[in-house]
Amino acid sequence: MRNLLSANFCRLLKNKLFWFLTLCLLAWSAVSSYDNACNLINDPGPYGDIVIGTGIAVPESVCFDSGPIVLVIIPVFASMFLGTEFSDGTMRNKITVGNTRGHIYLANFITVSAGSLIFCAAWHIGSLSALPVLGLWRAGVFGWLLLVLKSALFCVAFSAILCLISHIITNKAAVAVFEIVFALAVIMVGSFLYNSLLEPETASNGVTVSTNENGETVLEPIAPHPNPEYIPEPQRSVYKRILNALPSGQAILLANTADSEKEQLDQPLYACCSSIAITAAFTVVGLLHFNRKDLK
Amino acid sequence: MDYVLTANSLYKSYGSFKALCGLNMRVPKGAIYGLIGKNGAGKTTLIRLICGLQNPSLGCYTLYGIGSNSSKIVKARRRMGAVVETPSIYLDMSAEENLKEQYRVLGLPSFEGISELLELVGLENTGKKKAKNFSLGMRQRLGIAIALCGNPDFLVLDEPVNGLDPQGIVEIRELILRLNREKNITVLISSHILSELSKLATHYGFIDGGRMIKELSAEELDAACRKCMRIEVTKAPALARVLDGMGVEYKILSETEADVFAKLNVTALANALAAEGCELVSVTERDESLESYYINLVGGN
Repeated sequence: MRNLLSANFCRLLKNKLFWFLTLCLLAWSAVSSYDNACNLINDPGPYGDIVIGTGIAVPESVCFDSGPIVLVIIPVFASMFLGTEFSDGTMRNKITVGNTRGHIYLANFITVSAGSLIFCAAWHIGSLSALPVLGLWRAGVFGWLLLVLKSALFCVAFSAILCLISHIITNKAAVAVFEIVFALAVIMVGSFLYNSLLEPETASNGVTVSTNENGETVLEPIAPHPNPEYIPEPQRSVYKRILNALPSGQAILLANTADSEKEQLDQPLYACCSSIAITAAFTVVGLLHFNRKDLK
Repeated sequence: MDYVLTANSLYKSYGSFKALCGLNMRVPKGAIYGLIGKNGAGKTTLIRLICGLQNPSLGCYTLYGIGSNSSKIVKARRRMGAVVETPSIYLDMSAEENLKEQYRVLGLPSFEGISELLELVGLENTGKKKAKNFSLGMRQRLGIAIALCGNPDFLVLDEPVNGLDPQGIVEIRELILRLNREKNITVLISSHILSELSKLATHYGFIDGGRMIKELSAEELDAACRKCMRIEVTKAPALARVLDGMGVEYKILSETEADVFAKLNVTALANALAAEGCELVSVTERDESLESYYINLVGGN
């Protein structure tokens, strides 16, 4: 398998699309993090009492914004990199000369994961541009590293899913379209779950407008009432579990790290374990599938 | 005789469609084995099985005596190279980069021999030109060069001259002959261009409906395709007596037909037959080619 990895990594290093995406991500992350950090300082919004480094204006609130974008970039790279193996027929060269399918699959998975981790690194390195504006992370360097580890794990888990899809759909164009649509779909599912879980239990916004005996308009705040959009238990727990298990859910939670409301949604240990479980499960399924697949 | 490849009752089904139905074959060491069959006969399916791209539904094959069910078949495959259908090359790489990539896949310690390989297939002057800008013939030759990485002694080529211009066909033919003669590489080659195959092959396998219907050597085929006169008479025994008297080689085909492997004076033959009380019905000159042999064999359907 060492030979296959060596060949794959050489191809990865020469892959122009890969480096283009990495540079785009790095630039996007750097610019958006710096820009968001500046906006946060200049316009703190409803949190008027912000103190830099302790309140909402901490690097965590802007540094992880690009997570969902990484989840769109990984399938572009994975589908192109692995799709070439099937469309150019070079997969045959590996099998014909006596490499086992298991080794070929694992080498492909490891290479795509490595590519994803480089994207992840580009994202985090770019986001450091927020530090000169906002100071160090609220959770400290160690806390930041834990969040980076969490993001690395969900990137690898997502790579495992995409690797399986790339070995099932062998048409390069079809797999590229499917994987990008799939990535957008899981981000939408994650976003839906996150927003649903943020709904407050009671709604108290709004006022009633009435006219009193003197003909004056009277505004009366509406008394708090149950919010019909609120997700009750046990559905709430299920939503939380799914949100923390999905790579897209984890990316969305990470993008909203500084929000006080999400603190109760985040289950970091469970999320990390889920990423590992997803990686293992999809890799095993992929290996079993690829071992039996008829290639052309 | 040593066989590089043998197939024993090989079956392959795709759903209800049977691509191979109990196919048997023997590829002798050092041979150029021409696999002949019409579209859908099972040639490419057979090659895919041999290359490990697909697994047989039933039956097995051996490579260098190692059965396809054995885990050691993976090692045996390291002695083979293949070009299945289209050449398997990275289109965004140059010829040299493609070969280097295959060297890495094989785990070869250095890139020694790449320039010789490029020279062998006539791609030494392609420089940094990407394979996507290559002509079909150049891609085909690059595919063969990749298959030759690691010095295999068994080369499998599926339709290697498909779509090539006459010059390309000649180049590929000469390359295959050189590999076989100079490097003693056994070649299994499938092709629709029978006239081309007849210039190369030392052995033939005729495949139809997923079965091997005939296997024979080039000598046997030559004998079967010998130039002859097919003579139709009213009494074959009388013809036999006349031909014995003339001292020529012949083969009685039926009660009224015989093939004569010599040039005869038809008037003299007719007179001799008349003396035996036999009439000469017709005389046709036959010069059977690989193509007509194949058509006769598969029934021309």
